[in-house]
Amino acid sequence: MKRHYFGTVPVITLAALLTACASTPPESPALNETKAAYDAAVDDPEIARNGLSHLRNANAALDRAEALRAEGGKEEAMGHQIYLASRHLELAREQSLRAELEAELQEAERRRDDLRIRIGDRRAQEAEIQARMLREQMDRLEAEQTDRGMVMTLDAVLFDIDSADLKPGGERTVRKLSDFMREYPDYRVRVEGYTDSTGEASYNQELSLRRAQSVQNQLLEDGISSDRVEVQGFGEEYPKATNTTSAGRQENRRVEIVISDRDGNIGSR
Amino acid sequence: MFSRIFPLLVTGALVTGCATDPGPKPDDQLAATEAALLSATNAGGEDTEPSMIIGAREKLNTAENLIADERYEEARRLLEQAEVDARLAEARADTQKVREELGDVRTSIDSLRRNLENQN
Repeated sequence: MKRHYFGTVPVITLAALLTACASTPPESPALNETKAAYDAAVDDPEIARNGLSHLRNANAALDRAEALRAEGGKEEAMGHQIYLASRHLELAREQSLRAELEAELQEAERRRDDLRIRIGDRRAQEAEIQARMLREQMDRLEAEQTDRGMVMTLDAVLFDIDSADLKPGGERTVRKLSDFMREYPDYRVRVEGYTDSTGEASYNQELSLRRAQSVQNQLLEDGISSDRVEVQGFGEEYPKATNTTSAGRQENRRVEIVISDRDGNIGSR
Repeated sequence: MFSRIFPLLVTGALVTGCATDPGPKPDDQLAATEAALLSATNAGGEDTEPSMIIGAREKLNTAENLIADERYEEARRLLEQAEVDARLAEARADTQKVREELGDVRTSIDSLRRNLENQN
């Protein structure tokens, strides 16, 4: 690609021409500079590889410029060819620069995709760990999956008879719930009281609400924020078992704690 | 006698139409230059190399006037220059796009990396 071969034929012809004319055409500094720039571009392997067609165009324009210089008196036409040659050199350099940037871009994209995969894997792992921990917590609470979500049931034996006060065993169970709620601050609960059908419905409704409230109070004492705990007294409604046997009535006297989903939404009856 | 005529013939063959002959009407070059300018504008060359595009347009306008005056050779030169100007502006615009894309990807790499470090 060096300019050795360039214009051998015109040079010989012009040599003949020169001897005939017997006048030496002046050197052109602009032409010499552009030739030097061409040589430098050809010596750069990146430019030679990526800007080949523009280098060829530059070479052809330099040949024409050289011929015009040798001819003499064609300054304008020669200047034009030099202009074209230097533009083609710039184009060759630009293409080479772009090829370099494109290679860098490709490499950067590869690194980015790699990072995305690593983060994705890590997130999936973390999500799995979180899910397993949550399952373990729910197991500890002895919560059951229902239509309303996870529900934890406190038997009536955890309350004093006809009283809303929690027995120590009940307090221990509620403490497990407050531990869970402290660890998972996005979760909310609704505490629902239920009774059997013995006695006045209004009394039963009131008792069920007070039992639910005493669970709520302990949660608040344990530092759970009040907006995370709803209470409701259902009284005799929604029996779990028959009220005609004592075993059934025992089952119906209970407090259910409905645990929200991770966004704090609680399924209702 | 021969030694005087021969170089003139050779020169004539070498630089066709460069002398007093106005040469052929540069219709093809006009079309090529217009196409190059359009392509450069579409590629965003005006944003990357505004003065180069303006210069190329001026050369095109001048060339059209020269063609009207049947000064074809001068017109052709201006058109050829305007064409390479436009092509260079387009090439620079293309390079700029790659450069910007590379910047974006690097920014996202930085943020992904921070993300990954925060997870550790």
